[in-house]
Amino acid sequence: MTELVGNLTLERPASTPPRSYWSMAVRKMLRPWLVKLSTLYIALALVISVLVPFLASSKPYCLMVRTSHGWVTRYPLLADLTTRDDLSFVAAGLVVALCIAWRLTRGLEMLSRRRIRWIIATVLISAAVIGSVAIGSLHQNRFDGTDYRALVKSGAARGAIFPPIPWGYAEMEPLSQNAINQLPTWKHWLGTDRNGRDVLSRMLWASRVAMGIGFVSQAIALTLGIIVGAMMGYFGGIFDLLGMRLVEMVEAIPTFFLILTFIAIFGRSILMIMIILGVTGWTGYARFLRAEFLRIRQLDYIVAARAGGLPLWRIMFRHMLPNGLTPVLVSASFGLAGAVTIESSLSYLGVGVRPPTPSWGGMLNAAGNPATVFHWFEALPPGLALFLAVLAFNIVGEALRDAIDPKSLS
Amino acid sequence: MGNRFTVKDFIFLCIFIVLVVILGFTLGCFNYLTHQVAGLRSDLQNIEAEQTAQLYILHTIERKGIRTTSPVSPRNHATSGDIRKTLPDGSRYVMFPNPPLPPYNPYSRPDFAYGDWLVESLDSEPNRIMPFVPKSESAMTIQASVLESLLVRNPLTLRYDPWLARSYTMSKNGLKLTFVLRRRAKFSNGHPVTAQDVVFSYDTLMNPAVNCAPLRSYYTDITSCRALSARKVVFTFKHPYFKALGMAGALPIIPKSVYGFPKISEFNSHGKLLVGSGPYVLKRWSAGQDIVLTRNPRYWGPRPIFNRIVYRFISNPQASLQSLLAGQIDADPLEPSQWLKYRRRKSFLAKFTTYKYLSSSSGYSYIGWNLKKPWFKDRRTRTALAMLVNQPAIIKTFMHGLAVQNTGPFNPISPQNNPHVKPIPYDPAQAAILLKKAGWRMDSDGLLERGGVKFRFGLTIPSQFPLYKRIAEYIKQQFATAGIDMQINPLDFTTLIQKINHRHFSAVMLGWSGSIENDPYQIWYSGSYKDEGSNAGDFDDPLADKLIIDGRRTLNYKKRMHIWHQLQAVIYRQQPYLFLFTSYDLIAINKRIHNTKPYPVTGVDEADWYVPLALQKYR
Repeated sequence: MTELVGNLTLERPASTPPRSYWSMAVRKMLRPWLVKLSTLYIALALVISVLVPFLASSKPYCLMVRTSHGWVTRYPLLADLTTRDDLSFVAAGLVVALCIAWRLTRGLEMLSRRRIRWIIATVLISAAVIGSVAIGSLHQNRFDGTDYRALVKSGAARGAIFPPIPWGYAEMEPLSQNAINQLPTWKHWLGTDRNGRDVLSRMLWASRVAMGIGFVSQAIALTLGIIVGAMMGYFGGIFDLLGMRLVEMVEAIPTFFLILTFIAIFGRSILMIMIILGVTGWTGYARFLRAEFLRIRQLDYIVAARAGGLPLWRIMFRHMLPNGLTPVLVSASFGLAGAVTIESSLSYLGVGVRPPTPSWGGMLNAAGNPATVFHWFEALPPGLALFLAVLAFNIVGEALRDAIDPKSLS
Repeated sequence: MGNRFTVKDFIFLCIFIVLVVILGFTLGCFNYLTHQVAGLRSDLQNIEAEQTAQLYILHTIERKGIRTTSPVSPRNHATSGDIRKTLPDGSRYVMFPNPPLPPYNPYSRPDFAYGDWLVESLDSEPNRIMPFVPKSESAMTIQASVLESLLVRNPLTLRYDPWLARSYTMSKNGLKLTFVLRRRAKFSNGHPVTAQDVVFSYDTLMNPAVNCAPLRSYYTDITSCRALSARKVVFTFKHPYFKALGMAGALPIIPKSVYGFPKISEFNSHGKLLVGSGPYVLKRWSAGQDIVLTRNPRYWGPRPIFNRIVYRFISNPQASLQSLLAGQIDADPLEPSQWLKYRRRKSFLAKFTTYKYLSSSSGYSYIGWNLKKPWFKDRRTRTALAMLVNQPAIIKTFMHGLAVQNTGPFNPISPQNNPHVKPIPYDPAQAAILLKKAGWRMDSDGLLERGGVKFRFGLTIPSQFPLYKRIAEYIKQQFATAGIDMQINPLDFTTLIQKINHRHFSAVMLGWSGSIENDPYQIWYSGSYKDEGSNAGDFDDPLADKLIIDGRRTLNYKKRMHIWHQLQAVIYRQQPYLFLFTSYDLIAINKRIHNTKPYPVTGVDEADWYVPLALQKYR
């Protein structure tokens, strides 16, 4: 698709780089300020969810500890990073690297650009895969229960540099009536919760749960939906018949209760929730793509491609998919909002992530908890964050839909 | 084309009109019927109200001395016929011609009235309410109003008085116990309560095919239960047992006519069959909603006060408090924070009576270690774990000081409790030393390790109690500072109990309910591990076993208490549980219910409660 539109715009003066259909759509989508704001919010949440170990943690970046050999510099925060942290860095790094590579290669001539992009993408993705496997097998999760604050206070350590929010999400102040349910102060910017834990730190960590569940589950759903939908739409006939029955069957599964049942049987696991949401959520995408493919496969250029003897996968994924993907992407952004809502509902009911892992729904539940008196500063931030996240996904989705509407794209 | 109005269109239009007319007619009929039913219902209520008023008049007459022909009239009930004496052969004989009245007698109150409903909340729905089989507190609560036993405990004197039995005789050596049943005692299905039913109840309970090991463990010392005649039944005991009278007397008597299944294993498969001789009968069990007990119309004893007792299942304490405030339930146990918050409100105190007390039934919370798991095998590790937890701070912060720390499995107000056992102090430094002594070394990955086993385990907690979650989160952090990784697994209560029964757990946070004098056999005897018994963690200590057996056979009160004190010291030293605390009973009762004063040891007793006629709500 990119090169197709690119071909058409070659007559433009050389000074302005040719714009692809997608860049035009994105530009148009981002025009209203509300959409800009929403995109910014989502981007911020994403960045925070990746970098949160460096933003909010009770472990200092570095400090000097007194040992028998004198003062030794330690890096507790880096040492404390888990496999999950590392993997999220790899994933985020891959996305950023791909974006930069695309940007840099934009000015190149079309054919060499395509080849170079292919090479870069292959190298980056394989590096990421190898890196993840290596991290998964080699990285040993350290368990560090040391109270560094007390260590610094006692004089056994010095020169500690703490993150901007020097509180872990599960870290409680020593138990006392004064430590719990504190109002916002300079020490705790959003106060502390019923267990004496910093609310801001928990908020930031909770964004990781929300974004993680949203993006991973929708990635699974998209992959499944695209594969099944493409097959149904392209081949039709018995594939279509069986595929649609499968879609109907999966749609009949009540996702929420399925998750509740799985949690009752296998215990709590955020990965399990992601997978269930993904495995039950692909049907909408499959339906959309099927409809698009049914339309596109009749078009002349596909007939020509087939007559030209192009391989099947190339016709499907190179020539048909980019033209059929747009409605799917629109519904994916709504799907993201849905996944975030489901996760927070689960946590609100007290069956989501394993405590003490924070999640916005779980924090809301705790704030409305009978064991303590209601405090606005405990309930407002997670409620607002949740509301804004779902709103932002919906606004972006709607803007994207309008932007790729052929009637409005001129 | 096609815009013409054809015959076909006309037919369609006709059919459509007919359908609309039929629909409208149906709706009209439905509306009419609803009105009729509502009218009938209000008529019925009026009639019932009239009857209640008439009854009230009758009772007033009765009080003035005119005799009526009620089966057992609590008003002209005389306690003068009661006999308690020691027979010449040294055996003890107790005979009550009439079933005893509650000590805080509601019937003698000037504004006493029958009628109305008592609506209460239950924090969990029982999975079955069949006699003997269930292990949950909520099922026991429901059974208490439906099933009856031979004796009943007087909440004031704490003595056992005859109930279904008219009299009992206990031989001097405590090995033989004879009951004579009341002639008029009847089950709710009309069959009289006979000695055969008592024997049947005992046989059912003792049958290994019946799934009730925890309850059965109390009755292991009974050698036989025989019917001498239709109304006379004899229990004989292997050894003297301090709870002999209490256990034989508290055996729920179930009708053979109902539960006499051809195959005994059917007993486990039924869940909802509950028939007894009690003042109430099971009317309805709406899954997930409520259980309704209604007054047994054929009750043999004093007429039950309430027409209905309704138990609503409300697992969330906040929700049940809201129901209490809205008047949907009449009595509700409060959380400590709720207690503090609402006791400050005048409007709340004007509407509700509140009580705070430590009762014999107040249970204690604990974390039970599965001693079969590698982490918890040795005493030093368990003691170290206890030292890592600052219990006074938990009580002060989470419980608002409304709890007492436990130093063993006995209720702090019970005479069983040994006041000389000192709680393990909060001492992380000492805990680190103990862990080192126990062989735990800090691994390269920051976790304690011993013999290749990393100190990482899961703590199972019931998911519906927010307090347990808070405590677990606190303890998790405390353990983390020592290099112990504890994961918290919240589970639905029913699933959790199943996991414990099948021993699929490492550590579990739960509570045990208390009693006036606990028999430690059920939880602490080594033999109680098998058959899904209550010794789920497999506590197996020869000295404790010996003390339990000795204590059970000692009839002398003082000597027995001495043994229990020793046992408590042994158990606390071994730390099979991380004993947490016993919380105060905090209860709020709607003021329309009268005579709610709690007894000093046993707390409030629903049997005393009534609603004066003027305040009655459900007619």
